[in-house]
Amino acid sequence: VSEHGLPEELISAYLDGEVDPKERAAVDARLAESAEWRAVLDEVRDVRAAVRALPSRDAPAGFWDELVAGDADDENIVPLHTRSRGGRGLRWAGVAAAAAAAAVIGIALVPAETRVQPAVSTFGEAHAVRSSVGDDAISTLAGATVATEVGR
Amino acid sequence: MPDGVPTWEEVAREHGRFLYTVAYRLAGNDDDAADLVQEALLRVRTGLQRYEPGSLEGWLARIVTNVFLDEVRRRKRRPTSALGDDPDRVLAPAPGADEASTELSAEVQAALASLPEEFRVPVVLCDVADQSYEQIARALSVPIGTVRSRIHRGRRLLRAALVEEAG
Repeated sequence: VSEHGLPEELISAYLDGEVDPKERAAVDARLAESAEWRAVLDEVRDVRAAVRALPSRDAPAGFWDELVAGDADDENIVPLHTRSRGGRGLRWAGVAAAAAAAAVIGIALVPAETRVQPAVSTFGEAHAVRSSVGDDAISTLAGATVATEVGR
Repeated sequence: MPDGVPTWEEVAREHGRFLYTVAYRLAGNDDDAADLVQEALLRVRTGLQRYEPGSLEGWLARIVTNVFLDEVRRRKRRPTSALGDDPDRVLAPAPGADEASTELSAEVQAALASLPEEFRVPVVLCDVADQSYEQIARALSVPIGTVRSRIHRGRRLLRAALVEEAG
């Protein structure tokens, strides 16, 4: 909070168009009188632009095809939190996704004789969205050390 | 698309790149991004019926964010497999990409990956996924004031990290 009682975080909100008219007027007035605020505005504007300019990222070649085609053996169906970090685990999702797509759009992407264990419906339920409603999803991460190892 | 509910295929085909980009900016490397997208798509499948017509990409961003945060929490309990900021995996140059812009992107990505998750997540949701503060607040179950504060602090930390990298 500045000496004028205006929180500096309003600068980001100002740049994002996330201030109400009264706040906008207050920020404009503060910017007009404070070189320090103008400097912060310039810095935050540059950083914001740099992140927004990051290019879209394509998935590795074959990722989507493999995901849709999924023809894995049953034993490759491994949920994210138990998957080995030593190898990629596309195939399990491929099976689940193919079965899911077939279920949703009525297209038989998975041959009839292919068994998925556990059943996709069971597997899906087990990994259904774990809603964060009611919790602060990221405040528990406060004070976390910056990740430094992927561990593969 | 019966009743406005997107099929899994439509999600993957029309919004896959968006989903992967958000996952990549959160995770900082392709391997983890691929894992996040797979898990997110599985959740998309299970949650399709709960989808309410509106911002599909906002909904996808929320799901992949939840997957990311769940995975961060899980890895904190097993700290040998922390998620993110593997410098060797950060932003491989795209074919034909301009060298200077690729270098700048790599620096920004590295700085982003260096942010604690509590700041990285709202910055990515705002500046990569283009979500409003209200959407971010809903996604993270925090007040809008907290979103404001974390986005601003996150950008200030990003700036400091970029200056440090340049120095």
